[in-house]
Amino acid sequence: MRNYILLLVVLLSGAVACKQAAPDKEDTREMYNARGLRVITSFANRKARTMSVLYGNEAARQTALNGYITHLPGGVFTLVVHKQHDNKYWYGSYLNGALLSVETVRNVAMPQQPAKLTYQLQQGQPPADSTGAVISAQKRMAYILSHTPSVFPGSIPLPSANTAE
Amino acid sequence: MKVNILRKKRWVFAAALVVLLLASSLLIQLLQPVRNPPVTHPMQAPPEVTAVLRRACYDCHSNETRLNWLDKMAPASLLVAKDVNTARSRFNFSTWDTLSLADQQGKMWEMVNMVLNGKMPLPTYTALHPEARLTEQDIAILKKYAQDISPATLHDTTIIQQAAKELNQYRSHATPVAGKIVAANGVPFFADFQNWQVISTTNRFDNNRSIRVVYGNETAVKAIRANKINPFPEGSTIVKAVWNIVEEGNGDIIPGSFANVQIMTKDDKRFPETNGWGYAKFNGTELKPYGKTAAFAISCHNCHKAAEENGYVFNIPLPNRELK
Ligand code: HEC
Ligand code: HEC
Repeated sequence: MRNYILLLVVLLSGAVACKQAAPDKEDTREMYNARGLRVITSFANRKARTMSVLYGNEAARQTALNGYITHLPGGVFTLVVHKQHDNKYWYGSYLNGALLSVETVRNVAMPQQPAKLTYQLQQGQPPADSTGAVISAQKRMAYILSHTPSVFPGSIPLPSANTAE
Repeated sequence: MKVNILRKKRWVFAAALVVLLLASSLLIQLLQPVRNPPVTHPMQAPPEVTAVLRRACYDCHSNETRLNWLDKMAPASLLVAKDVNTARSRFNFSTWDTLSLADQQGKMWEMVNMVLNGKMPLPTYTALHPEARLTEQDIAILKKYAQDISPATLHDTTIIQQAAKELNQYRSHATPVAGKIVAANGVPFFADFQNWQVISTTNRFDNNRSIRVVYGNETAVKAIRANKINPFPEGSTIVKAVWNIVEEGNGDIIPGSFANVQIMTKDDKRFPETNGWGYAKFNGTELKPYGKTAAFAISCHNCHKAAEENGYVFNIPLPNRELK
């Protein structure tokens, strides 16, 4: 009998240990995964307390570099907006807080055809203006496609796509 | 008879030993390991600021060290001397005005943060000197001073013009990098970080107004997701790309000219003196390695100690429970 109790205790403590080993979801941390898109630029607004990253594929990057004058076919832009959060280890710095929205603009036109842009809100609430009114897709697209790309020195020359002018 | 003489000799020897010990411990008390060299370039700051710093920091970080009788007793006096000498070597309020404005700004923000995270004043010191503990109000005074000496320049045209130049070059693919670029401690630059996962973007309103994108390799990102970051696993690498900022009156912050790329890579064998982190920084579009000797990394790490709780990395996205 005593042996059984001992066994039970060992099993129970094992179960408790296993439960502790699996990380509590509340303790894990999320990061937006842009799945193959690269950062075109990042920006923020201290008054709105938002921090944003504009990602894109190579066609999108080339489009941004030419000032959005010529839309390359197959361009994909994704704008990710986070809430601004104080960095608790450094007074004087902000980092990304909760994810607010993810929006994607695609140029779905066939090559040699005029640009045909689509807009999709992939995550979060539709962005609203200061009065709380939802901003139209048309206006959001114009806003997303207005950001000057950041300069990255020592840039990786990407295969083939880089030759597109 | 012979035995008696021997006994006597032993006694004399023991007595001599006791006298010697007493004398040396008295002598040690007379030793004054902490001296106060002249105050040549004192800090010029509003009186409420210097009042706080004098009360809490001057005993170590200035040439106006005042020791109480406890501090003067050996062996405590020797430990105090070590702290004072180290503290003065880091920065000294008595020679403060020999620092450039940029260094003064940087040090002020570092002070605020060392105080906020409880690293300064040294806890061993406040235990014996409770009057040196800072109140909320004291900290608010230091924060305000740090902000006052690091004002924002809205719509900074120098940065805007430089950024336009750099973008023009970038458009024509021309930010080439000649050969392999390596920091003094052997950590190389590589451009492939752009294909890595973004950990967070950050922007700073301290002395170092800038906007940043922080990337992690798979090892680092996996560790952060699972919250297994103390310590970070071997092979974790984190890269931060930094741009000077253009700030506008409406709150907008956008990247201006390129500032630098900074790297932290975890290799316990190669970098034991900085808790396993190998640091590197490459300045400007030409990516000039920062630091003449490998010792530059010590100063990087000293400041990163403020994030010790997070495995010495500042930009860790918040755990879900704190994201509300
Ligand atoms: C008892 C002595 C002592 C007192 C008092 C003290 N410090 Fe320090 N301080 C030190 C020592 C020692 C170091 C070096 C610590 C290390 O690197 O581990 C240091 C380091 C620092 C650093 C890091 C500097 C660098 O570049 O590495 C800052 C910032 C700092 N102290 C701020 C303060 C402030 C602000 C106060 C007052 C509120 C203060 N200290 C009071 C002893 C002291
Ligand atoms: C005065 C303090 C200080 C010093 C000195 C310092 N850092 Fe940092 N570092 C920070 C802070 C604060 C952050 C987080 C905020 C931000 O994004 O800049 C940071 C962030 C970083 C990051 C991104 C990972 C992270 O911790 O968030 C890297 C990489 C980095 N620093 C490298 C370096 C290198 C290399 C050096 C030395 C050449 C250095 N740092 C010196 C304060 C410092």
